[in-house]
Amino acid sequence: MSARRLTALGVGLDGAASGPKPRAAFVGALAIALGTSGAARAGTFDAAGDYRLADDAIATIDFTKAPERYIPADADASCQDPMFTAVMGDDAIEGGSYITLKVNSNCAERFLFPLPKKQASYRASVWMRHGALAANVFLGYADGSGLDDLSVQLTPTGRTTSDGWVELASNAFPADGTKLARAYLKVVDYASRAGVDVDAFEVREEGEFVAQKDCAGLGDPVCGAEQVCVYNRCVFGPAAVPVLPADVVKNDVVDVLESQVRLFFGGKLSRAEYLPDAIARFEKMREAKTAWEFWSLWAAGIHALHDWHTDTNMGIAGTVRAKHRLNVCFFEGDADRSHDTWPTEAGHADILVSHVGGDGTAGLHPGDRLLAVDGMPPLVWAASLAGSDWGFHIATDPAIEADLAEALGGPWWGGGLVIRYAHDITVLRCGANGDCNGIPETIAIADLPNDGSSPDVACDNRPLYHFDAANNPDPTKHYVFDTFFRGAIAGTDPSEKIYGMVWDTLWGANDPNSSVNAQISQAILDWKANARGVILDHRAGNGGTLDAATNLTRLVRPPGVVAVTRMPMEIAGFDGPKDAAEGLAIFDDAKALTPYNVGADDWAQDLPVALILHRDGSASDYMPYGMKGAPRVRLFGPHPTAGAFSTYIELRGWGPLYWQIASGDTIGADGSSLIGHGVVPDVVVLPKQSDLIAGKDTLFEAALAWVRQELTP
Amino acid sequence: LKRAAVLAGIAIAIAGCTVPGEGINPAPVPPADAGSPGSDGGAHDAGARKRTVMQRNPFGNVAETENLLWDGDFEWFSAFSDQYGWLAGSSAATLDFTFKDVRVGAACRSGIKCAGLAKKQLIAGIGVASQGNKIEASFWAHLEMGECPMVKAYLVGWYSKTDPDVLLHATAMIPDAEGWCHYDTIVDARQEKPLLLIQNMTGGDVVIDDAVVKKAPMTTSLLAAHGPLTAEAVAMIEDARAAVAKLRGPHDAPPNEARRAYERWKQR
Repeated sequence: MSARRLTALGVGLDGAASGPKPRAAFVGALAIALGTSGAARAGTFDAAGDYRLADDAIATIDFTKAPERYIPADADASCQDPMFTAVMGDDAIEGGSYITLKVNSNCAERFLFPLPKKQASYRASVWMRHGALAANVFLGYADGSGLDDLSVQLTPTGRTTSDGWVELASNAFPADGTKLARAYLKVVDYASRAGVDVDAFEVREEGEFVAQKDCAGLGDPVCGAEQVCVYNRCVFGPAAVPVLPADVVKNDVVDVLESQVRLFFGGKLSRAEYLPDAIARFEKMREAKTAWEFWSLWAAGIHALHDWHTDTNMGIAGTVRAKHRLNVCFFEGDADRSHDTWPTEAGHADILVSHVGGDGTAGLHPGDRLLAVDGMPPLVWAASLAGSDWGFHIATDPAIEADLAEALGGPWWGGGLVIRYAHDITVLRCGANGDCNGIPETIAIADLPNDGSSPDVACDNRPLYHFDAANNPDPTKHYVFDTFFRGAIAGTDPSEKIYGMVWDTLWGANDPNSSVNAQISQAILDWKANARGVILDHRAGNGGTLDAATNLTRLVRPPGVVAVTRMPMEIAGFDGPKDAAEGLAIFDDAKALTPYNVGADDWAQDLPVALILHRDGSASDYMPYGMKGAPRVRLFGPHPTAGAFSTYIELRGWGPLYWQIASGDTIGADGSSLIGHGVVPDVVVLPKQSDLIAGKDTLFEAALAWVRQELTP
Repeated sequence: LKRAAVLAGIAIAIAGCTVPGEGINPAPVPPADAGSPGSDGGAHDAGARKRTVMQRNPFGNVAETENLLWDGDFEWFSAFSDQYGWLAGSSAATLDFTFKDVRVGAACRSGIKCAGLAKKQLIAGIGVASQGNKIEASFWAHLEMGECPMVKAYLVGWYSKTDPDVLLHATAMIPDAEGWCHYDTIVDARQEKPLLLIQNMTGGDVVIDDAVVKKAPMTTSLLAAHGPLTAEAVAMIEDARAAVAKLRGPHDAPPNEARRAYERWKQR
């Protein structure tokens, strides 16, 4: 195994420590008290209030005549006709005309503009009014150019007019005009039924050109401070983030962002364990000198909150194409066939191949073992992405790594961390004879082809399905998502009457007649009428709403209140009950107001129900919490659930910048705070390497064995 | 006080540019960089000018950093949010995570975004309690017609009547010259997290911005009228509480094919 270790993760995210900047310091920068950093202005206004495009604008879009549109070849038929009208009028901000944009659902307008055939750096701006406008400049490079496309976000600068116009602008971005196939302004209107007015698009040369470079995984210094290595290409970070707040307001912006987590974030464990680290990272934002540094530090702070419901995203990799494919899913397991030569990494489960797609698999098979990523234990490597991966996702329970394991493999839209960020992986293949003690093989990601016609396989921690083929999810895809699959367990005797359900969502939407609740309710009716045993397979529990969790518990226990929800956050900055007595007082106070109700009077008192878990959070925490301890229930899983016993509130900047903050806690009937404490399975069992090689599903086999011995007479 | 003094100095120094810390002087008085040499435009000529230009903070009203509302000035709203810090409904009974009516630009009192509220509609800001502290609740509303008290606002308990439901006062009967009404009330310490309910009872659209719920010094005099609310208001508040009670717990919509299609669409 390679001894190389990544030591430079967190590109641009971990600047020098610094304290708050004194407020008085901003008095100096008064000449232009902008809300954003000191980028040169685009056009200016004349004495009459008309906007004049910058004298040095090198590209504009002329809205006095029909702008040249670009329509992607695969655009939907509903996106073909122009979705704007030209308006001639004195209220144009520039030039006597503008367009009113009103695009159809899932469509966009794309207006082409020329760029010089040279390598240069530019800044784009546009004006809009009424509603809001999602706007980005798209640089599409010619096939064979060796360059990735670039999408550049435009966000408000703060310049507005009394008649409603609002300026959007990009950060400076590089363009290689010698290899461009097209450049266009892509716009989508929203928040106005009448459409959004658009005018005065201009592009000015500004900044220094930065060439696209190949890179060998995250942390490759070739990318520098303003780029991040994604899919083996240095991606230009500033293109994806808002402008940098001006010095005069930067501290205030940091204060506001920081207060969002200080006042509203989390519950007892998550505030105690994670909040201080996040605040420390936010503090570094005060010294940020670039937009990318500022927003990257902020994202690192959000990820430091280490919470299943706390996420951020902004799509930096949106236009960078995956150049390689690894159509393989990994999960945590017990590499019982290879421990003699490769012991388990202390503190982490082994990582095994769960299942693979039809091609693009690097020759890997279920049971093969992932020993290292970039020379690091796989889960250590995945956790290290917190400072760099804007889509980083992790369980609230500090001991749970299932989300990281699941995200290692799979497609770009559902995991794919290895393909996106790694330089190489080290695997241990098992031979046809079941021997897994061979010589490890290091595979460079750059050596993996990006071909194959089989579907992308999704990772759901289920190596196999166990109904008849007609009732199973498609095993070539593993696309369970929001679908319910039910049936009799294949291979069991009809007289055993063992039935099961495979599903991932508990999105009951607080509606007893919703699709999810209707399907759960119908399943309960069917099982009560026909089953002698039930196996529930919820190994990729994506959560949902509390009502669906409650609904399923109606099968297994009498009515009761097992916990109370206290969310979103009740009291600003509440650090949770000091002790069980205070927790009990909260439980008693809230029992009638916000109960987590479970059970039903007509529950199936004799029916054995096995619940198989693996990567489960939120409502998928509540459901096993509500089932655990019921007389005829056994929970099977490799470790506790995510411990995401809260809800969240979403916040968004302009464009794709997005974050959500977990807020609140859940208090059990014993007065304990539940957040960060996943539900411990009754039977802790890891998928075994030997079973995977033999085509067996360890967790399912354990559940089936228990149900069989407990069958309703 | 220190911040106010500094900002006042800025205002003097740049004579005409909108102050960046908009909580101190948030009114979109259009001083216009059109009249400011070195920025946009030349001499000030109010008679001929078709528009004025102002500089807003694109990150909103950042002057208040201890706001107990999740997003009092609506700057962090997006139409794509599933679970935002404001609820909306055509009635109190229909309050849900459906707030969508965002306004952008000069219509707002501060920053870039604010809320539109059509007549008879209702929005509710989600807040947190500050136990042991008096609370000051305030916001601004821009009216097309009617008098300020026709925008009804209440600070109410999320769950129960443990805390009194308080009607917020308009500080004037009629809107100011720019059409804005200010509502500002100090209430006693509360035990439960509050909802800031705002209902448009005027005959036209209303714009809401700069809502702040914050701790008030304990020495501050209470300014709320704690008298009984009308029966209609009591019923409306009960409906609101019943509606938000349904929203408790997590809300995690499942990933699906549509989401993946959207991700692909975003790529080009």
